[in-house]
Amino acid sequence: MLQTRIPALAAVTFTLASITGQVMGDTRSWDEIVTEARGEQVFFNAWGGSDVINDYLIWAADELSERYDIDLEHVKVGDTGDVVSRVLAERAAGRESGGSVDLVWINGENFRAMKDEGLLLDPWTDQLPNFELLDFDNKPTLTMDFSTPVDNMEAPWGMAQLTFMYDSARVDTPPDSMAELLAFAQDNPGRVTYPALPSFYGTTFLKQAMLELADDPDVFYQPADETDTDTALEPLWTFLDDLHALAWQQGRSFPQDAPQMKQMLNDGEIMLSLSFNPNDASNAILTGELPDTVRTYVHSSGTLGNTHFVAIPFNAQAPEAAMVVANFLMSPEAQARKADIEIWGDPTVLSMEKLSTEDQQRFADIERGPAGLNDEDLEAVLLEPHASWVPMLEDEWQRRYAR
Amino acid sequence: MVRRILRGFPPVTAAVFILPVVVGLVGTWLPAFGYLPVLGQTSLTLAHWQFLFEHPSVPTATRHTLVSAWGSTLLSLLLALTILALTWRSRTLRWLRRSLSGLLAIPHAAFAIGIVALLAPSGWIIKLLSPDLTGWELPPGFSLVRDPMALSLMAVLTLKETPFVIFMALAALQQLQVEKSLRMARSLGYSEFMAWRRIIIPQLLPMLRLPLFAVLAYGISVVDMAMIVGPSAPGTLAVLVDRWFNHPDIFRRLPGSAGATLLLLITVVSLMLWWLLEKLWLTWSRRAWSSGQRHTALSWFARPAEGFSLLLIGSALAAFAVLILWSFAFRWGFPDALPESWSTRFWGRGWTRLEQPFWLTLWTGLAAAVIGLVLVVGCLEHEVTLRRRRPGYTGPKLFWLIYVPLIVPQIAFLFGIQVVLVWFNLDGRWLTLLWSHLMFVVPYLFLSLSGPYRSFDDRYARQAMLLRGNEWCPLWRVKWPMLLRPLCYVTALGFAVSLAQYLPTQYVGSGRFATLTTETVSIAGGGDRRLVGVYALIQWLLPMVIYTLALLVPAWFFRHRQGMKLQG
Repeated sequence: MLQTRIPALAAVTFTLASITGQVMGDTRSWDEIVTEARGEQVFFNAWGGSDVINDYLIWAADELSERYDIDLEHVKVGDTGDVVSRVLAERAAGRESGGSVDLVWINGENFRAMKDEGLLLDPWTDQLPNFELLDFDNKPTLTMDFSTPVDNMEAPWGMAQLTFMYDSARVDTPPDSMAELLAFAQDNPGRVTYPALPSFYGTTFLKQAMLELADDPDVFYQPADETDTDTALEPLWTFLDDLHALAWQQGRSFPQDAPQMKQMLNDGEIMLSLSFNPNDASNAILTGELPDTVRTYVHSSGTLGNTHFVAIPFNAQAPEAAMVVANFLMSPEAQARKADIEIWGDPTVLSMEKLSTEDQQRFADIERGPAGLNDEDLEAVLLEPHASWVPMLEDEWQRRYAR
Repeated sequence: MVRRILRGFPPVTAAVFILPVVVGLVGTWLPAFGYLPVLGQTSLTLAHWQFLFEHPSVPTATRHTLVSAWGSTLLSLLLALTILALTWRSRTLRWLRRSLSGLLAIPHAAFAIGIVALLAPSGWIIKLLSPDLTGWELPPGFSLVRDPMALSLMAVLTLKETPFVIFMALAALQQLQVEKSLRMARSLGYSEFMAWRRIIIPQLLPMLRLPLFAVLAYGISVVDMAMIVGPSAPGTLAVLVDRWFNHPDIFRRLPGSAGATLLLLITVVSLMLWWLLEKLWLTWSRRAWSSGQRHTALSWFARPAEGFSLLLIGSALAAFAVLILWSFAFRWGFPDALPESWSTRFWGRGWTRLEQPFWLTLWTGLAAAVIGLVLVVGCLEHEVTLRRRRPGYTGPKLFWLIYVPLIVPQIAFLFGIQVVLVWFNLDGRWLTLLWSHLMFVVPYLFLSLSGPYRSFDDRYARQAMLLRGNEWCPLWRVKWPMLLRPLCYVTALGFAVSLAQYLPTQYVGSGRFATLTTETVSIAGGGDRRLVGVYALIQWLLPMVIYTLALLVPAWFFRHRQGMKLQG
C-alpha cells in the first residue's frame, strides 16, 4: 500500500514542480531571485576530501553571507553517488519540495543519471548573469558533459584535464604517449600503475588509452552497440595485458584512486601519478604533500578534458539561493581565486575576452606554479567518448583483471 | 510501581530498534527482486540475481569476505583464549586488562590507516630499516597490506577484534568459578593448558557465542577497513555492493540490493555454521573428557601467548605513534626514518574544522550511551524482578531480536530506512540521528552489561529491601553503586559505538550532521596523510578520554572502600 502510492503521487507533484519551475524562469528577474534568496540556507553537497577545496568553500560561505545574506553549508560527501541515492530516496518517499540537497557538485555519469531520472531542477543556468561570461567558443565540454547535453541544467564551475605527474629527481624523461608508457614500465618494472575501476580515475585512464591506441578513434564517439566492440577494444586489452605484467604488484593490486597515487608518488612507490587538475601538483608542492621536484606532463596527442558543474535537485529547499550561489561561484572574482594555485588551482570556465580589464588582470596576476604547464601544453584536449563505452570498459575490465 | 515501569522496558526497547530493521530489510528486498517504482521498476524479476551471480568479481569477492571474516573471527578467538589461559595469573594479563580500554577505544578506520602507514612498502617500518639495513633507496615491490588474498585484512581485523573478545571473555569468566576449577584440575594432575581446554573453555564458549556472532557479522559487512587494507581487484563483497549503491549508473542499485541480500544470507548461514561448529566441538571435547590425557604437545603452540599480548598492545601503540608523526610532519618522503620538516599547522587547521563536529559527537555519544544504559538496565532489572517470582527465568523468549542490528549488514537495511524516514519527515533531525545510533549502542550495551548484571548476588538487594521496605532504595543505595564499575565501563563502550557510526549518520542525518567519524572518512578520501593523521587521532582520543574517565570515576568513588578495589 505504502509503496504503490508513491509513483502516482510522485508523478502528480513532479508535474506541478515542473510547471512552477517554468513560471519562475519566465517571469522573475534576477533581482527578484536575489531578493528571495535572502536569509536562506543552502546545503551544498560536495566532495570533502581536499583541505584546499574545503578552505575555498569557507571563503565562499563568508562572502555569500556578507553580500547576499545566504548561509552556505558545505555537506562533505565521500561519493556523489550518496547524494544521488539521497535525492532518489526523497523522490521515492514523495518529497517534492523541501529536499535536503540544495546544490550538488556533479558531472559525467552522475549528472546523466540525475537528468535522465528527472531528479534535477528544470533549465535554469541561462538566468544567471555570469552565464554570459562562459567560454562556450573554446570549451565544448561546457555544453556536452561526457556526451550528455547539459541543457542548462547544471552550472559550470571548473575545468579538468587528465594530467600526469612525475618526480624529476627520479625520472628524466616522462613518457609522451601510452606506447611510451609501456616502454617506461619496461625500464622501471613495478613502478607504474593506475586506479582500479570503477573509480572514475581508472575509467579515465582506460578511456585515454583506448582513444590513443585505436586506429580509428571515431568509433568511440558513436554508441558502443553500433560497432564491433571486440575489434575496437582489442588494442586496449593487449596493451593492458602487457602493462600489468610490468605494473606495480604485477597488476594484481591497484590503488583506489588518484589521491592514493599521489601518496605513492611522494613515497617513490610509483614513478608516475595522475590527476584531473593540471595544477594539483603545484598546489601539493606548496602544501608539502609532494616534493618540490615534482613536475607534470600531458601526452602530446592530447588528454581527456571535461568540466565539473553544480546542479540543483528538483526538490531543493532553497532553489533561488542555490542559483545565487552558483552565480557567485561563476563570478570572475570567485573563479580567479579558485584558479590561484596557492588557493586551489582549479582552471576557470570563463572566457578572458568577455571579462573587464580589471577582471582579466585578476587572472593575469596568478603565478604559474612550480609544476604548472603552459597553456600551449594544455591545448590538445580529447573529448570524452560516448557514454555507452563506460559500462562496457568497466564490465570487461572486471571480467579480465578483477576476478 | 517499579515493576510496572520495568515491565514496559523489554517491549519498548525491542520495538523501537527492531521494527525499523524489518521495514528497512523489506525496502531492500523489494528492489532485489526488481521492484523499485521510483525508477519505474515495478515487475518482479530475478534478473538482478542473475546479474549478481554472473558478475565476474562476485566469486572472488565472496571468497575475500569469507577468508577475512571467518579467519579473523577464528584467529581472534584463538588468540584471546590463548592469552587468557596462559597469562591468567601472570602480570601480563593485569597489564593487558589495564590497556584493554585503550585498545577497545580505537576506531576501526583510524587503526587501519595507522597500520597501513606502518606496514605499506613505504611504511614506517621499512623506512626505519632503509636504506642502511635493506639497501632500498625506493620502496620494495612486495606489499604486506592490501594483498590480493585478503590476508592483511584478516590480520588487521584480528588485531582489532581480539581485545573485544578478551573483554567479553573476562566478563564471562567472572561468572565461572575459574580459580576453583583450575585448583581442582591441578589436583587431578592436569596441566594448566589442559584444564582450560577441558573445563573452562567448554563453559566459556557458549557464553561467547553472541559476541563472536557480532565479530563474524562485522567482518562480513565491514566496508571502511576493507577499503583501507583489503584487496582491490576485486575488493570484498561488501565493498562491491557498496560501490553499486553509489554507482553512477543509478540502476546498479537493483543488483546492489540483491548483493546486500546475499551479504545477509552469507551472514545468517555463517552464524548457523558457527553455532554448529561450536556444538560439534563441545560434543567432541566432552567425549575427550574420559581420555585421561593430562598433557598435550599442543600447549607448545600456545607458548608465545605473552608475545601475542605484546603484539596486540604493540601494534596499537605503533599505529598511534605513526599517526602522531604524520600529523606533525610537513614533508616526509622515503626512506627518511623521520619527517624531513615539521609543522603544527595541520593540528591548528584540524581543530578549527573539527570543533563543531567534536561537540556534536560528544553530546550525541553521551546521550546515546546514557539513554542506552537506562534502557538496558531497565530490561535487566525487569528480568531480576521476574526471576524473584519465577526462579530460573532467563528473560523474554524473543529478546535475542535486539541483536538483529548487529548481525544484519547495515547496507542491507539503511536505504529502506532512509525512504521511510523521509516519508514521515523524520530525516535530518537530531533525535532521529540519536535513535539510529541507539539501534547499535543498545545491543552492544546489552551484550556487555548482561553478564555482570545477571551475576550480581541478589541477596544484597533483597537484604536492603527488607531493611528499607521500598524498591528504589536498594537499587540506588546498594546495587547500582556496587555495579558502578561495569556501569561506567559499558557507558564508555556505548559512547565509542555511537562515535563509530558512519553509514547511519550519513543515511539518517541527510547530510545535516557532521561527526568526527564522517569528517574523518571524508578527509581520508583526499589522502593527505598529515591531515588524516590529525583527524584520526582526534577521533581516537575522544573515546580514550571517555574510557579513562570510566575507570577513574569508580576508582575515586570507591577510594575509601577496600572491598571495592579492582582485583588483579
